[in-house]
Amino acid sequence: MAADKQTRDLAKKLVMFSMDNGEISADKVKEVLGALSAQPPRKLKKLLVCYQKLIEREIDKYTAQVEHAGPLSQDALDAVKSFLEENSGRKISIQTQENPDLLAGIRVSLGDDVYEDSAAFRLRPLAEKAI
Amino acid sequence: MSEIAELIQSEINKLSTSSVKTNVGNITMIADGVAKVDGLSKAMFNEMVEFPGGVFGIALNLEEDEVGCVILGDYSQLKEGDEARTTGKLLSVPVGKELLGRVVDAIGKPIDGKGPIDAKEQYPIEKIAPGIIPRQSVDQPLQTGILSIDSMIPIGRGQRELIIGDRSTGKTTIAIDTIINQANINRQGELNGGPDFRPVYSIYVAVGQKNANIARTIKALEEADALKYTIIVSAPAADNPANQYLAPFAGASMGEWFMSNGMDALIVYDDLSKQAVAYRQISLVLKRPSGREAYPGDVFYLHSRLLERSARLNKDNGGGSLTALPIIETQMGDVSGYIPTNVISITDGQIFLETDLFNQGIRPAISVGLSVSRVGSAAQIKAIKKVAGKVKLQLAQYRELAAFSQFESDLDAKTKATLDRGARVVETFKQPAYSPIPVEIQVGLMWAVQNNFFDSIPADRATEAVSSLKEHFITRGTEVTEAILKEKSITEDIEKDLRATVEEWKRTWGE
Repeated sequence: MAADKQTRDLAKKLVMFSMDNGEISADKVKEVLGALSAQPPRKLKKLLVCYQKLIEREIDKYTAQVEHAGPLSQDALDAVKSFLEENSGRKISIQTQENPDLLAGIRVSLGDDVYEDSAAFRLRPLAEKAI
Repeated sequence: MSEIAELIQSEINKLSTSSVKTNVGNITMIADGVAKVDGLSKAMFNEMVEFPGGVFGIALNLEEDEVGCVILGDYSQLKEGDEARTTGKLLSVPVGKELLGRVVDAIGKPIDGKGPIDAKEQYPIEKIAPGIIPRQSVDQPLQTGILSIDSMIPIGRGQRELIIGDRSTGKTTIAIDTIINQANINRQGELNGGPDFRPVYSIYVAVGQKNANIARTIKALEEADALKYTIIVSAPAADNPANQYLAPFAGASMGEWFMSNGMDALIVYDDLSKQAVAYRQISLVLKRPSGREAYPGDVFYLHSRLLERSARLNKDNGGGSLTALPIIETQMGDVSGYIPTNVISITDGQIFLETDLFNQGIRPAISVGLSVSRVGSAAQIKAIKKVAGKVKLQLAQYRELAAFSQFESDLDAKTKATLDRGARVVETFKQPAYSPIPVEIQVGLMWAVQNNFFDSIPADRATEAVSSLKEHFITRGTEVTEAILKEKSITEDIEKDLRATVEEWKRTWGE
């Protein structure tokens, strides 16, 4: 459900309160949730949905999802991590996930940015032309 | 086998192994050809966005939390949650002479079944118009082949002349006649033209029209052998509003290629009212604030940035030109409507067509009083200027006195002469559709009318007489018409030959 501008602005403020040293802090999130349940504002459900979305977006900014097909060495992971930290200017944590649909190669998602070097990505334009 | 293996190996070696960075988002809403995408934080305005299934869109609304994209193509397979990615490219269309004779859609894909177009260049659809310094004033005529326009509302190369009127008043016919005339002139020039001959290539942009009408237009151009000098950009009524909004810009890009390469082109936008309606629909779905008549606040800018791309460039910039004939449909003759007044203020003149004149049989139904060309006689050759210079005034006087024509027996000789001459001029200007008249024959016809050769012919036979004189010039007056075309003015010798030719015709007409 779409939130109005007032609710979105309030959710953004709550996200700011939930941060500690530029990262989302679980303790601060608990404090915010505690405050909201003690004195629930109007449109609480929409506010919480909006707050959740913004928190996830914030976390995505420093949590990289690395999808891979086939084995992935620790050296390769470290290289990906240092590349991302250099480009973003912040500490990045990595989460890996095997994805056989990639056929070969890796796909790294950090926030909205996707770095892809997989066989499936290169074959996709060919498949679409064939269709 | 080893050869095949080597071929594949060389392809593998060519492959780059670097990763590709894209910016992605997910569709949160899709309706009426517009998708709202969450994410896409690095999307730029007017950037192409790729959706699953090879569908593309353009990012038109860049908001804090989401991006509004207009989908180009079939969006029925897209759903909420689908991933969209930026492409880093602006929407571009193929341009070049390879498109001549072809029918393409709003993004330049061929739809005439004649195979792919091997265009060597692509131009972005949105381009900033030439500034002041690269331009030159308009002084080369663009002959429409329509006698009333070329004599009283002359159009020059690089001008924007609006064609405005109610439905079914002959707006498209004027545009098609102009395109056919350019093709006729091009053919003549290819045979006989000197090194200074400059052909004019045409682009016809059909926006929001019925497919049957577009097919009829294509057929008319094919029959006149004009299609080979023409590009048709088609965004019919069944097309989504995004394509109808983009088609005029795509056509302008194709025309700009000719202009930037030192050639002359003519573009017809048929019609801009429908483009404004499509843009209104897109803007309302994107929840942009609406203004007068529910149009978005920048509907003026929609047309001004399109029409400013038509220009005449100076020699340092190639000397090319792009002439625009935008068409606007009015309701009940109301030229004071929102969109008509916007476009009238942008263009360099208008040709106003009236339903009453059309119904009276005056076709083309041009209202001489309301029509104007701000370029004026600068876009006329000396010959036509000499014979047609006074005709607008004669028609104005005729209209003023026309109410008294019922009292014919009580009028003084001067008034009667004005009425007689006016009636004959009106009949002279009647012209059948898809039959443009070359300028040299127009000069001959107007000279004959102005030198009293039609005074003895009854007004109701004047059209027949004009047709007959035109035939006479084509069959027996080629020497004088070629001289007019060469000199572009009426010298003493040409005047003598004209007199002799017309007198010869008058004798045969009298028989």
